[in-house]
This record gives sequence, C-alpha cells and structure tokens, in this order.
Amino acid sequence: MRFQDSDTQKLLRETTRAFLADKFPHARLYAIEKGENPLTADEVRGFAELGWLGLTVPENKGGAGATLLDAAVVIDEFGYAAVPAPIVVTIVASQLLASVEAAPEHLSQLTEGTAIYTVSAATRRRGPIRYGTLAGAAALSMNNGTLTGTLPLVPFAGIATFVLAPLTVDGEPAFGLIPLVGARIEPVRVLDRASTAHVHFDGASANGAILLATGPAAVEMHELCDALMTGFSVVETGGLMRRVLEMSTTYISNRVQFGQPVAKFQAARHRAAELLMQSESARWAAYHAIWRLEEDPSDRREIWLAKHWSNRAGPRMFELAHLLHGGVGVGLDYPLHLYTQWLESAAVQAGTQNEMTNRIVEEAVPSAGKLATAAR
Amino acid sequence: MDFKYPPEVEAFREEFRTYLDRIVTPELKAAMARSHDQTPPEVHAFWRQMGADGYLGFGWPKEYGGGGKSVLFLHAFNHEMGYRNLPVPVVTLNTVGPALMRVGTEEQKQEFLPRILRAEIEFAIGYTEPEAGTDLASLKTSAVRDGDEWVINGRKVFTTGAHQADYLWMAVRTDPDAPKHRGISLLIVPLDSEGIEVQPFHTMAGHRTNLTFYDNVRVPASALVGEENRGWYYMTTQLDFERVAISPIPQMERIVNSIKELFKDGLGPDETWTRSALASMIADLNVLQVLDMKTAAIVANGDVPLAEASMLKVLSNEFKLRHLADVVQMLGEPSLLATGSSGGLIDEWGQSYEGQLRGSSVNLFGGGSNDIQRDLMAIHGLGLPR
Repeated sequence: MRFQDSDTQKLLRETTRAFLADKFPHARLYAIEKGENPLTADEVRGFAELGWLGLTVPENKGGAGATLLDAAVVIDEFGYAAVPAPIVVTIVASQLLASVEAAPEHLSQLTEGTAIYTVSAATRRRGPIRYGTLAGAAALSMNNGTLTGTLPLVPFAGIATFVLAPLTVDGEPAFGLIPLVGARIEPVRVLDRASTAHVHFDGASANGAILLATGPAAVEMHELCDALMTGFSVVETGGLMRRVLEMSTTYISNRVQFGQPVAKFQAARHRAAELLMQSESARWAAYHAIWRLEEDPSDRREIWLAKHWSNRAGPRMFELAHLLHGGVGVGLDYPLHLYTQWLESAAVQAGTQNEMTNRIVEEAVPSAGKLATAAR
Repeated sequence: MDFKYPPEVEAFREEFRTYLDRIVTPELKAAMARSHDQTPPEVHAFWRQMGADGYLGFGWPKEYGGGGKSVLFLHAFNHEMGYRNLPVPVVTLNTVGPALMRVGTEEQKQEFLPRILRAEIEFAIGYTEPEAGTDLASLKTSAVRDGDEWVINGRKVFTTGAHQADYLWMAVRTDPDAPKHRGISLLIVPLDSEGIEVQPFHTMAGHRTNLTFYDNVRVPASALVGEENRGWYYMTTQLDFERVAISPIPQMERIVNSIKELFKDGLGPDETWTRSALASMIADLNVLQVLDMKTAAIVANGDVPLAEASMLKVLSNEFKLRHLADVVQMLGEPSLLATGSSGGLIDEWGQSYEGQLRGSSVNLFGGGSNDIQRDLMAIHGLGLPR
C-alpha cells in the first residue's frame, strides 16, 4: 500500500499544475466567472494535445491507456486550479463511449479534441429535479427521427458538440450520444458562475444521434454515468479543498492582527487543523473510491460514501475558510470566492445528499429500500 | 498510488479470526462482562494462551522472541481484537516492550521482555499528575538519587491498572533546574514497593483507574530506563504509538454493523432522520477506514505519521462519540438502559450502547488531548508558526 503518487502520477500532476497556473491565472478565472473571456473550444483542443482528454481511452482505441487513478490526478489539479473546464465530463464521456462498440469515430474525435463532448450530469437516474419549473420540463425523447425535451444544467453546453444523455425512444429507456447542433442553448449562472446551460430540443432532427444502449443496458449505462460523474466530481472537489486549505494557512500565517500573525491564535490554528482533516479525508476517500471502481466497475459503494462525506466537508470548509479570512475573503478581486462558491455548488451537483443517503441506506439495509418504495 | 491490501496480511487476518473463534469462549465473554475493576483470571488465562500460541508478540522483532511481522499485521491484530471487544495488554505489550527494546539495559531486557511475551507481568503507566495533564511536561513528582537508590515523592492521577499491575512505568522529575522537558526520567517501579498508596478513582466510562501517592519510595539505581533526563523523548515516542494502538475504528464498525443487524428484519430505518444519520455514520466510517489504512501504510513504509496519527485520533474518537449519541437517538429510550436492566439493548459482544457512549468520553483526552492533537496538526501538518 502506498498513499502517494506513482512516478507517472507525479509527472502528470506537475505538468498539469504548471500548465494551468500559466494559462489560467486568477485574473483569467475572474473573467471566466463574469462570462467575459470564456473558455474556448480551441483551449479544450489544447488539452487534447496534452493527452488529457483521451487519457483513459485504451491505447488500441487511440488513447493513452492510463488508469482512472491517473485521470483522477489530472482532475484533482483542475480543481486545485479552480479552472472550470470540461475535464470531468470528457473523461466520463470517454469511459461511456469506450464501454460500447457503437461509436468508435467519436472516441477518436474526443481524444483528438476535434469535437467536444459533455454529459447531461443533472439528469440523475436517482435524484430527479423535484422543484421549480425544471421539475416539470419534458425529458428528452426521440420519436420519428426528431428530438424534443430539455436537458437541464448541462455543463459546458455552450462549447460542446455532443452531449451524452439518457432519453426515451418510443417510450423505452435509452442512453444516447446527441449532437448539439440543432439544440437551443440557454446559458444560466450556477452560484454566480458561468459555463452551464439548459439545452432545449424543440423538434430538432435526430440525425447524427447514436443510441449507445437501450432497455436495461441503458439504465445500467445511466447508473455508470452517474457513478463516474460523482466519483470524479469528488476528486475535483478534493483539489478545490486542498487549495482552500493552502490559501487559508498562508493567509493566517501572514496576516498580522493584535501584533502577531493570526496563526498564533489557537482558535485559528484549530480551524486550520479542521480544514486539514476535512480536506485530507475527502481527498483520500475519493481516490480510494475511484480505485475500487477501477478494480471492479460494479463496486460503486465507496463513491456514494465519499460523496456523502464531501457534501458535508465542502460547505464546512466554506465556513471555516471564510471565518479565517474575514472581510478579505469575500472580495471579488480575491481568489477565495472562486473556490468556496464552487465547493458549495459541488456539494449539490453530481449527487445530492438525499440521493447519497438513499443509496447508502438501501445498500446497508436492503429492507429499507422496500419500505421506502412501499411508502411512496 | 497503490491501495492494494497485502494478501499475506489478509490471509493472517482470516487465520487469526478462526483462531479467536476457537479460543474466545462464552466463559471468557461472561467474565469480561462481569468485571470492570479487575482483570478477571479468565482474561489472564486468555492472554497466556495467546502468548503461548505466538500471537501476543508476533509484531516484536525475532531477536526478542517475537514473530518479526510488519506493522500491518499488528494493525490487523488490533483490529480483530478491538472488533470483538477483547482486551489487549496494550500498555505492557506495545508501550513498555518496544521502549525497552530501544533504550533498556541488557539486564532490563532479559528481566522483562520474555515475561511480557508470556503475559506473566503487567505494567501500569504513571505520567499524569493533578497539575500536569495536557501540559504533561510540567510534572512534579520527583526522584532524587541517594547512593545506589532513587527516592520518589509525589502523586499521580489516572494511574490505570496500578491496583493490579506488577510494575509502574513512571515519569519523574530528576533535574528540577533544567528546562521542563529536559529534567524528566523514566523509572521502572515495583508496585509492591513500600511507600506507595493506591486509591480507586471511578470514571463515567465504568472503569476503575487510580490516584497514587509516593512517600519516600526507594528503588535501585538500575530502575532507570535509558538515559537520565531523556524521559520526555521516550514518553512522546510511546504516546505516538499509543495513539495508533487505541484506535476506536473497530468498535465503530461493530456499532454500525449491529445497527444494520437490528434494522434488518424489523422496521428498518424508515424514518427520515434515522436514514440520514445512518448514512452519515457509514460515510464517516469509510473515511476513517481509508485514513486508517493510509496511516498504517506510512508506518509500514518506514515513515512517521505525525499529522496523520493526530488526525485519525481526533476524527475517530470524536465521531465515535457523535455516532453513539446518534445511535441512542435512533433507538430511543431502550438504548439508555444499562446492561442487565430488562428491555436494554446490547450488541452480540455484550456491549450496551449507553455504556459505549459513556466510555467514548475517555479517548477525547486519552492518548493526548484532542485539542493538543489539533495544535500538532497545525505544526506538523500545516507548518504554522509555533
């Protein structure tokens, strides 16, 4: 056992960190946040040149053949740099595409960055949207060669070419690869950050759409999609957490009040220690869960557990970091908010606490699931 | 990253489980449930049996009669014992033994190590004093050299086991003029020495510990462990070890499993708050298990888990207390009934939830107070100014 980066992972981490620090300084992130200088498709193609997009695609399918843990290292660094980029959705899409034989050309386009892929991450199989107008929006369906319905809250829909999403085809469940060319993209702001959009299909042609799975296989692909989204999101959140921890400890070490660094006060030290515990726990639980998934793709239990922890740790760290930073932390020209706002949204995205709770309890006590069903 | 649990450790765990299933008798369980103040003879017999079968010292180096197995085996051993709520002579086996191997004289090694391995002798620890708790280095109990002897005067508290152990592993001030960390030495004191008085001190955890008084207690010069005035260094090394050895994680697993079992055939966690609390417990436990493996892996790879050990200690013991508070909330009033009261709830190892809840108060400070652990994390984990 070794809870440390392998040599490959160390190299991946270092190169990712250096690249992101160079291309995405905080000034750029502020601009992206405001929607002024958004991430471009060209920039995403640049990630392809670095080998990140097809990282886990098998070598015989044109990818780098890296492990899910290797990909997690890159994703962790995107979180650490707070760069809102379609890295998690691309890795998830590549895993789903590689799991079937239906769309080999898409796997190479994804790897080469000639098309950009996203995932309809908010249409969770467990945990549908219950409140507001989105709850009533028609789900995506394909009938007679046309697409109708809405995919809410699709990450990076503005720059993506295709979305992988669950849908119904003549009333039957399916999981498909859908071109975004005929869709109406409605940009929205999530916790005051840009990059997400609702995607509406108002009778668009289904030309170019590929059904990756239908029937029970589609349900299983949806489950796998949710598990991968959750797992890698927790890894990304772990990167955000590590940065919040670092920023906070640096700040209290340098900030002088009452004639001494704030870090000399025990109350502040203990908050910092709490940040360390929360962040280390979330991070290693995430990596361990990804490893379990890699060992056995049907073993998703630790993913739900890690997300449950992360959903609590993120908001807790938000609170602690702002307690330590005081007024300095809330300025829009100070980077802390980039991380803490994201932590807060990550705690709700890719699996709410209600979804995680249901999944965990039903696995732990199988009779609980039956009761819950009976109660409905 | 490599998260694979070594198969040979897993194999050992299986073998050890089978062994325990065989030698843990209903009589032993009953004796453990009966006695809180005195280690019952059945437990001593159990330890001697384990010693004879090579399980007690299998983590010790071969040159001292041990099995020479790595720390991961010891970790599995502690886990299996803890899960079954079986007592381990931790202080003697994991504290005194290894310290003697490192800094004891040849004579001390010969005298004590083989008897420890055979579970023939027991040590108690004499560190804490009325005015030296968290600030342990300010301890005042003194030992003054008089010819070939040390003369000890003072008092200790939380001298757990002193009423039934054979020896005291005792921290004393030997140089009152030196800086406080550099004037402490360790002595091995026979507990039947003249001038020692032991008074019981009962805790809410249901266990007896002691107040001890030392009035001109004389021990030979050879009672000194290691070098004079280097005691603080030896003590902190030992506390690092104790922190890992007293992990409550196995008990926490047992608690979660017992709840799952309780819910299995009955109503199940059909209430919203119970579902939520149960999911949190299981997710917390998962995080602790991962951190626990990480800490063990660090030790197994030859490094010292400074911040990690503190982190694990704080998180696990605080969560255990919160989990038990949640468990009694889930189960309601029957879970507040003591073992033996009719209608009370106990798990398959005879533990009541209320008893475990009371017991959880101890390790918030035992092994080094949690707030000091947070300070240690600030220093070792974050590099904050001292």
